[in-house]
Amino acid sequence: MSANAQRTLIEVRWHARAGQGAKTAANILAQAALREGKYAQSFPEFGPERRGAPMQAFNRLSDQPFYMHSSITEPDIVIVVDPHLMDTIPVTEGLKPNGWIIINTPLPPEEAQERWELKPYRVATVDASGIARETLRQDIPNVPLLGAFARVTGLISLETLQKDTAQRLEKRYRDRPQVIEANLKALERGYNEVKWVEAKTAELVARETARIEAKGWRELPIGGIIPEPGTSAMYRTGSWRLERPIFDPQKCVQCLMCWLVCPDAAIILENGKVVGIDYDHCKGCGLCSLQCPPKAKALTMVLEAELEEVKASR
Amino acid sequence: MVEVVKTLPRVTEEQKRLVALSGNEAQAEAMRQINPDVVAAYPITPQTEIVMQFAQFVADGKVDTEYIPVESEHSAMSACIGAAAAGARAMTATSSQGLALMWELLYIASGLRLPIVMAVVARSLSANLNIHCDHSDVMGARDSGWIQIFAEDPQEAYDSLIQAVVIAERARLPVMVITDGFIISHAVHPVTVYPDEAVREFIGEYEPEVSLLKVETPVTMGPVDLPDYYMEHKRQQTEAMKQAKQIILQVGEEFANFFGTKVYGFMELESMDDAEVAVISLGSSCGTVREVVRELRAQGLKVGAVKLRVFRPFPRDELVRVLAGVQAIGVLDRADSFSTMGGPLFTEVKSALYDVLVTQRHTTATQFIPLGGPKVVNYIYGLGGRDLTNEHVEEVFRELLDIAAGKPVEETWRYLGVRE
Repeated sequence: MSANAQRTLIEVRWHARAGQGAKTAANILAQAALREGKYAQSFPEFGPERRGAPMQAFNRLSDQPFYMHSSITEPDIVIVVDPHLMDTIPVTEGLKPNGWIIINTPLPPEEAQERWELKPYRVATVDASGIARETLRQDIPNVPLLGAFARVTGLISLETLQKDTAQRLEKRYRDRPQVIEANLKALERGYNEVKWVEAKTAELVARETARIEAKGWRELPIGGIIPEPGTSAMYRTGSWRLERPIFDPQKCVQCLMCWLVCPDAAIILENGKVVGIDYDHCKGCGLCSLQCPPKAKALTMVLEAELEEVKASR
Repeated sequence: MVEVVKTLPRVTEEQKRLVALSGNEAQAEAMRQINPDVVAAYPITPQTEIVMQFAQFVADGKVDTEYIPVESEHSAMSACIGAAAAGARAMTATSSQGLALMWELLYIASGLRLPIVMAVVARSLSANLNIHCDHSDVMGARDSGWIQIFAEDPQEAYDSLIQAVVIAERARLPVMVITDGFIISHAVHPVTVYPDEAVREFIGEYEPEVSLLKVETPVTMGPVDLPDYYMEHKRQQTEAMKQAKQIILQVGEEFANFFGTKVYGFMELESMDDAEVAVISLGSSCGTVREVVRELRAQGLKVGAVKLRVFRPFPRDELVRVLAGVQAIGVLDRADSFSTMGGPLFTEVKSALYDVLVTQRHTTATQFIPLGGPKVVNYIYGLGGRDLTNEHVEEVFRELLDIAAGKPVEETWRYLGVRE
């Protein structure tokens, strides 16, 4: 048996939005693993997107040295930092049967497993955003998620994570020890409050993925040109949105300032009048709402997360 | 797909004019006759007289060209890229540091598959400040996806620049035509010039397949190209280079038919049929080498020479067929790569010959190949305008003959004409 075959290698994929701290969390995890004498990698996947766009980060953990620098396509563990990605991104793609999926959601794990058809996987849920809001006073779910990861996988101890987090924050927050304490508390609460269920089936469900078969070099247009106009509309950047502008036609004075400033041409006009928002392309930057005259207030920004909660409670 | 060779009417001898022109003047004359839509160039040092003369043609109303004097070579190539993307026939000229400053744009021109044609006068790169002939500038651009054609003298520079327009547009690749700084650029030689109408007929009207100004078929050029597509586009580029080999040969043949010239190809051979040793070089030194070959042949020595005209795409198979039967090859490089294993032409030639050296797959029907294939030795010469004399070349041939007779090669690269 080769050394490689004997080695246990754990591969982790983080799903988040750019700006939610998944890359940092993956770095902390790798650092903590190193502290425990393990071998670890952490790397993000970069695209041209900005804050709010779906992104991925990765970890490899092992008790033996490893040397590959390839991407991770069949992870053992998936961590979903933003629960809204559950409906827009194929987060379980390549996830091994009986692998862990750890989701930031207040839903109990049984319900999450049912709702998102996760029967072949072990599902863990923790209200990481809720914990973060209470302890850190802002929605930084990565810290409680790390606590949850430590608990359900046992790959790293809570003590190491806490030691590491404290050390990392020490320099910056020397004068504000309460910040460090809040982070340690967030970790601990993530660790304590996570709930999980076992996989219900050993068989993977074949999922339909709307994937375009990429053309080979012989078929592609010469020079990388895009031979048709307006193709950027096919890129549904609406999934990047954290906040949603809500339009109230009753209050609108039709000054068209929102239409003028929208960088994504997502303000819909009909006969020269604003009639609504193109949510397929609105990235939720909020410029429209900023420009809307204070007296009118026809555009208000609402957190997507809260919208979901409102829907769920109905 | 490669087009079928056109049969065009021949230009008569009476229609041609024999004039005395420097390399720069010959290329400026070609550009006047080509009458490109756009020429963008940096007009100050290290610019050549090519652009100075062309600007005069513009000022005198002898061309219809939109001439854009820009603030740097970086901008010159940028403007050519913009013009070519808009569907214009765009040309420029540069040299030395100017080419170095264009570096990142060279890749954009080739990556966007724009048929820009550039006259490059090859000169050394600083430091130290030198300005004289050297191939360091063009060798720095050898992997930028441009077709590179070396001209030995002003006639070849004139002919090649006209051919380059057709090659570029058929291959959808940019082309640089390279002349040796000062040695050719400023030296006056007899040049046969063809009538304007004939040149314009030969190059024809430029009808780009895609362009930004074809509003009825809008396209996006140069979009973001991530790991899932970028590599396919590079693969296309290398395929275009492969196809360009056929195009270069075809255009050379069409040119010869039309203007009654020699047939331009990848290389020109001097006494290679039964040569035991050979020298391969680029540019003006090929003339000097030819002289020496003829002298030594008169003494009964079996020496030969290969003038490589096309460096990119590199004509591997054709070159191997010529060199495989030779016992010792001297590769002259007018640039050092500082790899400590020789200059750029040397590493290409040796790499091309590897299969011959190792497996002897490329045997020729008439010649016996000694076990192990030819010995290849590199001579780095002429840096920063250092003269290459007949004596230098003879010294090279004598050493190659010794090597062919069994003298051990030891280190395979050396400097020629340097003070120890």
